[in-house]
Amino acid sequence: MTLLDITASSPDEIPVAPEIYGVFPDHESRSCLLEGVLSWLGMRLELFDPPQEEAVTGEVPETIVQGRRRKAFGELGAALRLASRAPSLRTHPRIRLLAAEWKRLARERNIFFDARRRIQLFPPMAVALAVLTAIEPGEDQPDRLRLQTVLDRGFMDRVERSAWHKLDLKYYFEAAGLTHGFEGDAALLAQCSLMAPPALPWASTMDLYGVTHLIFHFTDFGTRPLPAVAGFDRDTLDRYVVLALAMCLAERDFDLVAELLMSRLCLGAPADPLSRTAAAALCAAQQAEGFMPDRTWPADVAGLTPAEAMEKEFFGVYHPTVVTLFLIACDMALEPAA
Amino acid sequence: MSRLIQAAAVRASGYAARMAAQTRDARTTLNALALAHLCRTIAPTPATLQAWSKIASESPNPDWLASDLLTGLTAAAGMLETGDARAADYLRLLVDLRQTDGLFDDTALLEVALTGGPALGLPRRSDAAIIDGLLAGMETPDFAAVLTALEAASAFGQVPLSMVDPIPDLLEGAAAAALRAYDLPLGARLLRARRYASPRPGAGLETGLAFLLSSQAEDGGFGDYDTAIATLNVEGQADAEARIRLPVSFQALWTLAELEDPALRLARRVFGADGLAARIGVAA
Repeated sequence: MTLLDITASSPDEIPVAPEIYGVFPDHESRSCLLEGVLSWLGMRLELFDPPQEEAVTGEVPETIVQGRRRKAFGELGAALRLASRAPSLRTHPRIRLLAAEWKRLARERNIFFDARRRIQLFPPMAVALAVLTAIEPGEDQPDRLRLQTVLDRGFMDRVERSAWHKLDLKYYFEAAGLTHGFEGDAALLAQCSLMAPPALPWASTMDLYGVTHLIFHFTDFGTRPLPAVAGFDRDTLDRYVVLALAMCLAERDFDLVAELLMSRLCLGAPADPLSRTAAAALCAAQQAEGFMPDRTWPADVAGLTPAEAMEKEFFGVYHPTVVTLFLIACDMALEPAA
Repeated sequence: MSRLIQAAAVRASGYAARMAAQTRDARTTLNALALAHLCRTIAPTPATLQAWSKIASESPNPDWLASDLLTGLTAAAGMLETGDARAADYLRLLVDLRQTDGLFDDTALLEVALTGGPALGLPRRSDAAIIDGLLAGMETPDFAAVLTALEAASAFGQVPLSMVDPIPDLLEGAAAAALRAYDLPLGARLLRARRYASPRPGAGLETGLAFLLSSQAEDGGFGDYDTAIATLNVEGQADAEARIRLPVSFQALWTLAELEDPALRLARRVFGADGLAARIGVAA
């Protein structure tokens, strides 16, 4: 073929490589889902606002627990951390705004206050530090030293915990640049439920969250393979995740649908009809305001003030909505560069 | 048929006979006859044949309309083998009424049972419509309609289907969800539909098979319903156990047999290649 032949070709004759968008049916549906989620998160940002930590007095520091507002704040941060891995998301105006607001709130609310005594808040503090490390790359994190001091006391990484719980902590400790005494990933995989997942008809929702979170953190959201462990059957896990995804689709549990779709991405599964159908179902389930409903939605708000009703709805639906952002971020972060 | 399933059938036949002897009512007779006939079809052993004979000879007359269509047809198929006139009368009634619009929920089953072949003239759903129905929610009419449509299109497994992905996966997922909600009859029905929809193996089929096998109790019946039975007993409902566990046992055993042997289609074995109408000498 000569240059003349190429320039003489009509655009219709030039073969176009198919664009692969991970699990979503097409670019438009993913974008629509993303914009809806970001719009809703922006409108509800004040409900993610954590407590003003130095104002939380009257409680013994060691007894202060996370609570739902700190949890929501941390989960939003973790999603923004993952979003920062995808170049087009990192520069998205709404993501930049959310990240900036998250950082501002983290500082203004003094979330690392009394870190050395508020040991039950240590895990979310570690997550927060990991988030700041990701969204403020290169910036000094003075709170790291205080958190490392807690870890160096020889109890946080030594108390009795499940392999899942250990991995969750280990993952964010390492992302935050903290050193710890947990076992390596291969040892944790050998102890965890991924070796022999619980029969699905009997598995609880928490059991399924265990499976998904183990996959996320062992693979660092799809950037590395699962550790090699004797006796671990990768094919069995793949088939299990497929069946779990189909089961949660039937149950219309969109929170777990998103987590299991993400698990498939993390395991490197090719985008097949089931994944595409599940992603399309998520897009169809998204409400007009942009949030993703949970299984209890719509909430019973009889007798509540508008503000109370909004808060009740928020705490029902924020998690599947944030998880949807996680999924989109994972899909985009793992997408081959154009 | 594997020895595992045959053994399950033998135990279930003993359960059917005990329930029939224990409760001695017309509804239980019907359910017990259906289960016992299924058991002897799957495992024609002296034990299952004896259980059948005991129920047929010692139980009150069955109330043919007391249970669902599948149970009634199966019981009638069994009774026809002994030339039972009441079974023949029941089937003649079904033949006469089968063209009545809206009378039967499951016309496809009726056609397969009476004629041996698939129902003609039923609208065929597109793959997209089937997927939409399976995603609509398991409690919705759309979902139920899709399940019925799959059974009809396959004539309960006699017409091979090769449904496109992800329909087999969605059926497996729905089956797992139904079992997770402890809706054993729906789970069993979805597993059979999955088997009819595609011949390829699946993790959901293996999971369902294992679940149903493990749900057979020491007494031979399927399903753990102690709490539900105790509740019904407190409410004064008679024969609670028989009313719950005989139909569940029937569904579970039917499904186990079809899952375990992909070539087995119990509809053909129970109703015959030409259907029950031919056996009573009636043109259907």
